[in-house]
Amino acid sequence: MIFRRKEEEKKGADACILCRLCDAGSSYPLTLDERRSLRHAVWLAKNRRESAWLYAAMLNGVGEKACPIGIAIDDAIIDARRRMVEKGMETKENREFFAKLRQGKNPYA
Amino acid sequence: MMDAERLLRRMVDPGDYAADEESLLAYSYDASGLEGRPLAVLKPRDEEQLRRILVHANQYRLPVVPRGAGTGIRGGCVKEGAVVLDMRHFATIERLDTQRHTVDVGAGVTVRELNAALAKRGYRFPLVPEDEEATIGGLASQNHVTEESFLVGDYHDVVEQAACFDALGRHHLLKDADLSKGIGTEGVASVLLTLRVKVLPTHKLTADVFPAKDATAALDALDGLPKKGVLLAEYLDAEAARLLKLEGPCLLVAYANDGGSYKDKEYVETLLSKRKGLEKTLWAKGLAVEEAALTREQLPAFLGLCEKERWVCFGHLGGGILLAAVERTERETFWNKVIALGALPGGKQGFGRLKREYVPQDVKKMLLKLKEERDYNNILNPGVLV
Repeated sequence: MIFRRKEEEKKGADACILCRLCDAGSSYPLTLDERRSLRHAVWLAKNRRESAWLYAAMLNGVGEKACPIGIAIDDAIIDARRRMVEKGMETKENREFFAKLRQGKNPYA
Repeated sequence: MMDAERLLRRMVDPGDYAADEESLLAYSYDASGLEGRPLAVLKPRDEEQLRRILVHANQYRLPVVPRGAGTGIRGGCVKEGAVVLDMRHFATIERLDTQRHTVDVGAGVTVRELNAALAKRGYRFPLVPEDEEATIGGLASQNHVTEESFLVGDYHDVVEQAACFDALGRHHLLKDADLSKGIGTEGVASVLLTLRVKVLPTHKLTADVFPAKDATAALDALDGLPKKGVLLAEYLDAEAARLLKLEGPCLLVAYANDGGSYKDKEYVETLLSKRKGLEKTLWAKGLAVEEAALTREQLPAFLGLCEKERWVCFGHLGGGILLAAVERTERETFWNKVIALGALPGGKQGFGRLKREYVPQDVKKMLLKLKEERDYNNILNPGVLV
């Protein structure tokens, strides 16, 4: 927690300028799959879009640390996921995703 | 169109073609705020795949948009209905020549990746943008300028040769004067493949801060600098200097030798990294950073304008490009006021789709001629620059 900004300094996904600096610590440089980039997850949260790909974010805090704006990225993504659940929008992909996880299989395959 | 799509799918490996809803959405934007849903996304892995895509796109007159990391702020890689070429698989870093100080880099390598690889061999790539996730191909196509352009120049100077395809899939090796057919053309006449770029060995680092109460004092300090060893000369107005915990307005100068009075390498590195982070600090305040290319005569008027409008002003005085932090809603005003001064807005990160109306007429004319020669069906990045 020592690396995280103070709560009052944090901003929401609306402030994102899509610079991609958060992606240095995401799986994007390895997969080169834009859908899995943290930037895309923040873009989805910013644009209030529901998508199973919100679950591709690892929420490990690395992107949040790298963000020049100080966006609470993990919280923004969790909020977006929560909105999906509240709308009853658990997708087929999401159900399959968790089923695979429970079975010990690769959820992204 | 269905035929075209089916054929496109065959041009690349199965996992490298994407036309699903989420992929199209993920490639429908960049850092500019522009949006445009592409037709398909292709990620070629080698030159043969790329050549086939271009030949095929030409046959069906499909617009093709080369894309690196999508970090551009002028909408250069966003186009409705286009075939997006994700160039990130062109990610080779090879043949570091320690005699000639060059390295061969794939267009899809990011600056962060390149510098991480070079650091292991005691070298670095000098033109590091504020956003290190940008790719070398993307930056070269915009002819990006950074603070170290004072010493090494822009991408025209740093790139020794560039391999590219034109819209017909013909291979070109650009050198010397021909480099301008690929560098700075924002993907409208060629798709960059690999670039031989100059690198710098790690060196000493010292710095100086000269007070510059007005434009004349800043220019005097600039003229008084030694001819050799100066890495960068950055102007900082009072507010920009305050953010760096310096007394401003001033001229921050870094040397690749013992020339500066600040000799503690750690302190100088911190100072330069803070300067590099200045844009990010201003982004965090909700501001946009815009740029203007200025002559010496235009500098006093520009500084006066920034003072009047209360825009934080700083930048590459040595390279003739100054930056101003403006409210996001004031970007258009900034460009128009800079033009009214007789100066050229832009000059640091291209024009893209957003600012194409500001492209000088002579540049447009040159590009149209180039397009006639290399892309007569106008499939490469239509709507950008020309």
